[in-house]
Amino acid sequence: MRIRQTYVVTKLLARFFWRRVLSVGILRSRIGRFGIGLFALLSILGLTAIATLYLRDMLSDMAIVQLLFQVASVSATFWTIIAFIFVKILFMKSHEFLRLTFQLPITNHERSAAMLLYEMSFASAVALVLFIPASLAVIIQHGLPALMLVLGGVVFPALTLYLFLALTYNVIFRLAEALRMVRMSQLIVSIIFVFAVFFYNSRTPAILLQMSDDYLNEREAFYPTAAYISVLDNYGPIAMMVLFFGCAAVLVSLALGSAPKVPPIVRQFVKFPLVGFARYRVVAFVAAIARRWELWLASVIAYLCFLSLVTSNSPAQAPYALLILLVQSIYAYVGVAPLRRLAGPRVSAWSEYLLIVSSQLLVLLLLALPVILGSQIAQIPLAAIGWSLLACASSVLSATLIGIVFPPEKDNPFTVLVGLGALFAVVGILGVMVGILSLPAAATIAILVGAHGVVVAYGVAGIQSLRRKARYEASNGGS
Amino acid sequence: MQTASGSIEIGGFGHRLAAAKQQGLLLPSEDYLPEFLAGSEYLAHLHQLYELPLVDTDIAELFDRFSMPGRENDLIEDYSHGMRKKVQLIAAFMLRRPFTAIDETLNGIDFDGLRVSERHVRQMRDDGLTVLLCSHDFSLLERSADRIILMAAGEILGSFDTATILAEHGSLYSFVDQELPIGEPA
Repeated sequence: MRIRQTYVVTKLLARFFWRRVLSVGILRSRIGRFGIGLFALLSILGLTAIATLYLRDMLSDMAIVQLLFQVASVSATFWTIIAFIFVKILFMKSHEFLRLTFQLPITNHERSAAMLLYEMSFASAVALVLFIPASLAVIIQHGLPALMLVLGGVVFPALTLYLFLALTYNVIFRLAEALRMVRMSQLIVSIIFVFAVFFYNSRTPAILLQMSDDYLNEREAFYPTAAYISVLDNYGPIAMMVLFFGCAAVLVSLALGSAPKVPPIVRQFVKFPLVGFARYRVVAFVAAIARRWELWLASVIAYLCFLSLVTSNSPAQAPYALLILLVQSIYAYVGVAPLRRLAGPRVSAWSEYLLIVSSQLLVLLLLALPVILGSQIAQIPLAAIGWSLLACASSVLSATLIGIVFPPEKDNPFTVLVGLGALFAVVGILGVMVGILSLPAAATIAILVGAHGVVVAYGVAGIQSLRRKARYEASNGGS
Repeated sequence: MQTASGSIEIGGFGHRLAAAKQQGLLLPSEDYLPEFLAGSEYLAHLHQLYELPLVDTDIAELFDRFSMPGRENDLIEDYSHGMRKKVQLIAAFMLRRPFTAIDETLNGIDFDGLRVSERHVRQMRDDGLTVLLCSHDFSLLERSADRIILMAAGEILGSFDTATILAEHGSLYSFVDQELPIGEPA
């Protein structure tokens, strides 16, 4: 493996994703970038100052600092898994760019190493940034010994776990390959990691409780996430470093060795049968929405959230887990672009809007069935189920509008974040409006119906406007 | 592209109208297709749009004839570039519109697919349907076209009878070479 080529490809990956991020919203302008950078820096400095000043007494005891970083290792583990899933989805959605890397004069191992290096840096940065203020505060107060705790409690666990997750990812992919399920491999891998997040999250309170309990009772105990701290405590910093570099070397070798021989071709759609294409136009729209692999992943997350809520202290809120599915509605308009093109002027803007919305509602209803059934078993009042379904229907309209106004760009998941921000703002404003005004029920219903009418009207007007723009561009030779 | 003058009508309807769209079919040069549909579903959806009855056995038969046996129920996402082009051609040969424009769609498909397509194009012509082949493949045009409309820089230079061109110039290439000489470098 050639180090230089690997480094060049890592830089290319970093540049690609960095420019993708910078092409979204206010980040396009230099002033916007400077403003956000300054805000981030001031936030970190401010939080560090707060941690240094207000936690001074508490952090003066090294035993508490050690406990703090044992707890931090649990949290760092959680955020590393989240960052890993985020990075993998980012790569899956940038498959066209990755396909371009196949044309570069590099071996598969060099490409895998570049991706691993880039992913690890990105995910570690995401996971570590959360711990900067507390870590700096401790280092300021205690110096080098605290730096070792930061390494052992946050940095090393995050990096080791990332490598372990990369290895697991490759192993699962290889298994899917052996079982002739390559087409579904990204969905399978994503679902497994989502399950891992939910499982780990459900175990976190018990782990934290155990750690505090052991600390208060002065018991020595071993926690896998805090393994480096245990080694540091028992054998010193050199032993911890040796352990980390040893683990990293083994995991890197295994991760590179297990990387797929043929780079996986990312598929965006899940194949399952549908009928009625020759009879009902809406079926093709249903296919466009229901076959997106992200919807399947969102469904698994929604069902896991439902199960988690239904077994919690507030089961009545459980059906609202379906709202997670609505993130996919942002893609509804761009997702049916090939169908729009086929239909041309045969379909009016109103009909197109109705097809987009009705297909989403059909899919939603179908996906809601297990939740409705589960809610019935859990004896959740029918009214609560009904309200959650109404909230979903309402969000379909809002998310569709957002998808028309801020259409997600191909290969750029960051544009979706802009759309999501706008969606939360619209839904939030509606919620706050209803809450603050505390109007009589009839007036509230009238306002909500009116607001949804406006959302629908703007959605149709948006489609009409985009059609006019497309016609203008076509008549001007695409300029 | 904006028309310099005149108007375009298909079946007596302005080309932007829905009625004209029902009479015509454009196979674009790129293979931008709904990847979330299977080949058979795409064809069924097109039949729904054109309000035409669909015979499922025709789909299987055409996929077979185009050397894609049993692939009609696979998602278009899984098709190669050539297969996508062939699905577009199958759509044209199933829908058999009064006017069909094929914009370079025959480029890049395999030899068997090309021969089957040429046979279908000739059959459509014999049945009184109009097929406009937009192509730079002169041998294809020599074999398939009744008339050649020569265009350069967005302008129509003339409409010519293919048989006459071949009789007078031997090949379409020689004719075009004569009509559109390349400027010598200064």
